[in-house]
Amino acid sequence: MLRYILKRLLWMIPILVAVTVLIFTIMYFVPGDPVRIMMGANAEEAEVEAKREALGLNRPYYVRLLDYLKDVFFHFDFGNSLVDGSSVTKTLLSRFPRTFLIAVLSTVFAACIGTPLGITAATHPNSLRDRLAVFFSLVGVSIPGFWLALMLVILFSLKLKLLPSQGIGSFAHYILPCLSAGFMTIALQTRQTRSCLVEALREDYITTARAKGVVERDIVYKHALPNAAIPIITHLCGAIGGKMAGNLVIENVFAIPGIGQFLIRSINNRDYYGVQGAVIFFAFILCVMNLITDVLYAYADPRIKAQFEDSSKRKKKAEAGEESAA
Amino acid sequence: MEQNMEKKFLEIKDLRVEYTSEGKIIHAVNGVSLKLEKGHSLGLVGETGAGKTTIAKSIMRILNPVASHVRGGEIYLNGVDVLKVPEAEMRQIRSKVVAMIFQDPMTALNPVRTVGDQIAEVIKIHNNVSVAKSWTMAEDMLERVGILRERASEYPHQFSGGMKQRVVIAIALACNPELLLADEPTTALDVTIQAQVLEMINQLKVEFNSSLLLITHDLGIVAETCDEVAVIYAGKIVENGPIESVFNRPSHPYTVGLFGALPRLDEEVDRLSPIAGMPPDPTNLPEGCSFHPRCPRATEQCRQKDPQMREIDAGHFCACHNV
Amino acid sequence: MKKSIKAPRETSFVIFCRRFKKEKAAVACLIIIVLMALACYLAPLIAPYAYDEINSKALHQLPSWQHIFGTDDMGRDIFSRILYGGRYSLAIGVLATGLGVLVGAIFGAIAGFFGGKVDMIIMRIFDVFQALPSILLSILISSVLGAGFTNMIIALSVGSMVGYARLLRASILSVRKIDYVEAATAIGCSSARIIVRHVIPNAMTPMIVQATMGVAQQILGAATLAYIGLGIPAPSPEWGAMLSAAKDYIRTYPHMLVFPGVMIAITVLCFNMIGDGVRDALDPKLKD
Repeated sequence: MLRYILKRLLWMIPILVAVTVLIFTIMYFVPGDPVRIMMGANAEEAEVEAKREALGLNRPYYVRLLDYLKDVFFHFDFGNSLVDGSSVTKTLLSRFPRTFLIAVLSTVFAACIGTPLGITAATHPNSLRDRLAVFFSLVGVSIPGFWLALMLVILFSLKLKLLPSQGIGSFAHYILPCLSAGFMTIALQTRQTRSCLVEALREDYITTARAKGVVERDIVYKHALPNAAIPIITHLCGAIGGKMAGNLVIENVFAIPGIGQFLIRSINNRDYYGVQGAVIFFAFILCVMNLITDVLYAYADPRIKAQFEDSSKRKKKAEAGEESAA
Repeated sequence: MEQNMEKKFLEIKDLRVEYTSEGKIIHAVNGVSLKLEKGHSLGLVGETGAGKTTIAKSIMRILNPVASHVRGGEIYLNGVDVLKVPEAEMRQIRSKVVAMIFQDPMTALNPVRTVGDQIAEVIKIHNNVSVAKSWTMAEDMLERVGILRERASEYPHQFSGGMKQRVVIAIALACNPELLLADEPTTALDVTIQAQVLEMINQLKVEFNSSLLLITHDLGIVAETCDEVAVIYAGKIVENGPIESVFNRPSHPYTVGLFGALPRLDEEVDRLSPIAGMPPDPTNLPEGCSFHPRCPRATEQCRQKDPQMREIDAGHFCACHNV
Repeated sequence: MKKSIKAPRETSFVIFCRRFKKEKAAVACLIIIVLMALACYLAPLIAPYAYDEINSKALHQLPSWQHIFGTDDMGRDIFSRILYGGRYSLAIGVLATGLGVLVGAIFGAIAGFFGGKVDMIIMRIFDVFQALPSILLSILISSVLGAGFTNMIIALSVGSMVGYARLLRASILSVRKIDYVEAATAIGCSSARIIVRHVIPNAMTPMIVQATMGVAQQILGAATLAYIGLGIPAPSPEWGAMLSAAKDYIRTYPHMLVFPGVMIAITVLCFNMIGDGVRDALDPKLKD
């Protein structure tokens, strides 16, 4: 298992290098002169040119690319913001906890509501609650998250004056962002749980369990759910990774100083280094979350776990088998 | 009536089961009556789709509750109609009184639980024993079906097909059931393993003194294993009786056809004679005798009137107008 | 011989239509979408005002009989703007999906058919694309290309392309292993013939389902892009852009935010329901 994780970690490096090259190239073609934006429209052309030269923006594409790759992968340095000269790495690290917190909280919230809904729907096929759950989950995936956020602000902050509409600070500040970020995940989680469980309940081993006289509750929770859990877990972990980036607009709505807000601001300011840094950081987080997902997946399913069992362990077992046979 | 019941261990009376699929009604079992005495074994023979598995699942009451409906009939087991028992009581009957060996061992075992756990579970449900004790009993059971007890903590994917079927058999026999339903227990297995598994079922049946309902499409297996045989066609029993009588004197044209489709080693035959035509569409069964479109001896009467079972020899019944 | 190949495909389409008709909710949603598209198309005839008709005497009006959805910060009629805006939103959703499917299908087909090194290179490149959430990719591309109708479509389709390519590739790989394709190879069909006659029709099913749902995703994506200012420039009334403009008035005139959002949600919901219906009609096993 450990070897598998190591292998995967190593495999992340080429992916991240490729992502870096891709992002760098895309940003290279961004129209608009960042230095011009930085120094204002009234600045002298000579001054702007000098600044460009100083920042190394006049060097050829490949030189800048190699330079950037070296900085990112050997010094973990995403460069300095073109807007205020601050270290992008430091900004990202200081903003990361809030982005992560919202992603995790909203996913946990979604799992707590979506999973039971999905189980109820799956165990009462074609009943009213099944139909309601399916419809609810369709509605959930159809509402734009940022619009829901705005509506929640109107209702809870402006009309009822119960919760703060933006910023961070207290726990209350996180309720609306997590609610609006988690709403779509509830819907997805309900669908995922339902379809996986329905599929598992249709398997032959469920008939075997019925034939054994197992009570219906145990059939669902001890036989079907462990099998259905594998894709459900995958989906949830994937959700956390995807949410980090997916929440960027919601972060903006609630003025939460997370990475998403920083990214949008950087895009608007043509801040190359800010955008590159944030996107590569998101890609890195997504890779790590995918890895965690796969490891969990392997733990939940003995068939996959067996594939990753250490070969030495298998050898030992074979030897032991020979001994007992002798 | 009551006295009559006591004599028979298993008695199915006029069982009718339908499935619904995409708005169509599939007539799977159409008035099946069967009897089986304690300690005896009955072979239920017929083509795929003739309703054999449905009968077995009806006895266990494990048909899919959404798609299937028992439209009528009674199934007496030890004088109790299992179709009328409450679900909680039925759970006590399952595996304790009647257990089933499933057709496909590849899918019948839960892939995320160890085989020992799956055997111990059934023991735990039907016996008042500790968890540790049920595990030991499960290991014992594995040994009885010829698997090392150390392998109890392994998962199904670590076993071969034949081994998995042994585990399925161990689960079925773990609570010493009075009646064993074996649904084509060997079709999914290699030919070489088929014989071993059959041998084992036979042996264990004697050892546990269980009755056996063996579902198969293989007359050879019936001849080796069973005391009685019932031939089913389109959800109806067309012929049944003691094995010698039916094998020596197959009477229904369908049974005759089945024997004709069987390769014989003791006779010089140029070619096998398969039964002409296809099994009928279960959503739209023919009028009269279901077999008449394929029957070489069909008459006008067969097209109009469904034949009833008649005794043609001691205990040997046949449903055909022309016998 | 030709007839016997063609006949079942026709009937399968008829079967699909019959099954789809049974999906009442999906049919209702299809009707809603068709009506909505028609209303947007005929906006100049239906809309009570022009989308850019500024009325300084009727700023920020709440819904009334004159302006059923109210008016915005320049006194423009929100209902009329929604009708005109629907043209953009629906077109972006459909066209971005179409472009994504097309490009994705080409790459997927190349990867699935040639296999080997070609497949490996394409898939590795897609691995890189998939290391980024699709909305992030769309935002990036959009910021390079700049705002505008065509650029939005391109940005959104790049984000979804990889999914379709993978789907088609997977279908092709699985279909290739199925007996009838082996049988076709055995009787000496050329590989081009196998692709066109046997593999593509069978790989289409999951693609159609995915694409219907994809339209819903693209409309949501378009709204997101527009909201952060990467949409269609003013005064064109795209739904997401309307939301973006209205967000500054959330404290004072929240009604401006309600209707465009409701329209987006209804449209997306309808496409999702249609997608569900199509899936059930194509593969009834998935139901119950």
